[in-house]
Amino acid sequence: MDDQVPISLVCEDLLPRDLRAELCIAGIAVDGGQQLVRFRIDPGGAFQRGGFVRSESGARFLVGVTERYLPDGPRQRVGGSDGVPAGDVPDQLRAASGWAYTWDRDRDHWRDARAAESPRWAGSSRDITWAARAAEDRARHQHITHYVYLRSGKFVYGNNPPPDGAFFSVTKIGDWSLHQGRETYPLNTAPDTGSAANLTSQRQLGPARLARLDQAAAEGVVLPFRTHDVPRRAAPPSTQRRHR
Amino acid sequence: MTDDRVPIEMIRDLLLPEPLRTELGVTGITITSRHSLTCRIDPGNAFERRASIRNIIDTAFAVLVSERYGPYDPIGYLCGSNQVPAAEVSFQLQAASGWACIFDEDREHWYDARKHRSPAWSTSLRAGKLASAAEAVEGAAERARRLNVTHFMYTEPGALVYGNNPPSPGTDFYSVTRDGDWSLHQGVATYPQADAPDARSFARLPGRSASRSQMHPARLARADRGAGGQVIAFQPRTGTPASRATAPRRRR
Repeated sequence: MDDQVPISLVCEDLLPRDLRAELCIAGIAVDGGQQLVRFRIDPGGAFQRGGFVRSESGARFLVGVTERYLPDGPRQRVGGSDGVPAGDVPDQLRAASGWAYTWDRDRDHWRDARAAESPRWAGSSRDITWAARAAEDRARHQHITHYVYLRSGKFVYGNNPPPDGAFFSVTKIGDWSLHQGRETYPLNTAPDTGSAANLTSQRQLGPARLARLDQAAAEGVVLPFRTHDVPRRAAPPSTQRRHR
Repeated sequence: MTDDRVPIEMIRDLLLPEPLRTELGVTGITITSRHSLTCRIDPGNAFERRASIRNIIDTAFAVLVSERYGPYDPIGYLCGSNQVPAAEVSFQLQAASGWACIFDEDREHWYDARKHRSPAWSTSLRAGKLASAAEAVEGAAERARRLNVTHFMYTEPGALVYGNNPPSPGTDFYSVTRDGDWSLHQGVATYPQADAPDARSFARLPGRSASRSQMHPARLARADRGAGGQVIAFQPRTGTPASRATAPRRRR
């Protein structure tokens, strides 16, 4: 008997609003078979990180996180869990996202680890929409991530990011992101006139960034074999096991 | 390429800290290889549940839970996580144990779901002597191993009985699998045992149901869970507990 629930029916429960804000979830896509939902999440120091939730039999779910560390690097599985009840999916997604941070903490930021594309190529336009479309087309045709940024009143699009300042990126499959300093924000759509303001804005963007700053302020990352201190460990088990 | 993995024996107490062992009724911790261990945990409504922790690569672990629902069933994989950092292993084991409880909650207790073993076989020894207790334990374990069938031990007035079917409801009893794993069954609760029972254990058996204050912590935990209401499969957590659970994970 197939007791799988169409995943679009429970998407709001699997990816509740507060989780979407916290993990900066964007580009939610449900597959035709209604068993899998994919999306992008806050990638930390990596270029791109994705999450997925797959419906298994018996109201259980497979939750996983994948990562593309460099703009055109391979996609790799970072971690995940299976046999997860629906009510625990958001927490497991948070956990897997946290593990991804842990595994990447000793790696260079993707901008430092990335090799420059050669030969360099760039074009420009005064129209952000036009520049975004041109970057997207070239990224798709050349299979290389392209970047869009503002220089001297023009929107530059090319195969290398600017040395400083905020910029957009688009992958060969049309995934857009906004990069501000070391932060990367997955975007649902290509940038337009409104979002272009983010290229010059210095203000913080939202809960995801706040969460990350909060995390950074909490005495760095833990060593692999350091246990949580007792007060912190005391709370999670009760929430894990008493949520029915 | 070098293998950076630490022998799991050295970090056993980190992976399975004492409070966790108490909460989940962890027993029979066995180092199965340099980088993996298994143990038995509180099985909930199932007959037997096992956890396995494997150091896959570097400091990344897999945490797996498997279960034997009925005493004569094979062990099957239930749920688990991979690429888990060492410091999160105990947390994930708690979570996976909780998931297993959730999935079994709507199933009958193993005692009610099991099929009666036929032909039924049992033998009894006169109780009250140390020799007879040891003899019964040995006999049950030997038959379980030789016949590949879980056996059960219980007391009747003046006698120790072991056979291939458990006693009638309301009687506490021990069980031993073909692998020699012993459990104590009191009412609906099952307690994995590290060792085979001895004469003193049998002396305590006739008690039908312990009071709450006498309960093992694992049983208390289960009772607490039971008081939490029914499973609602797609009920999301409220914001408060979720954020409490998240904070320690992301602030490493």
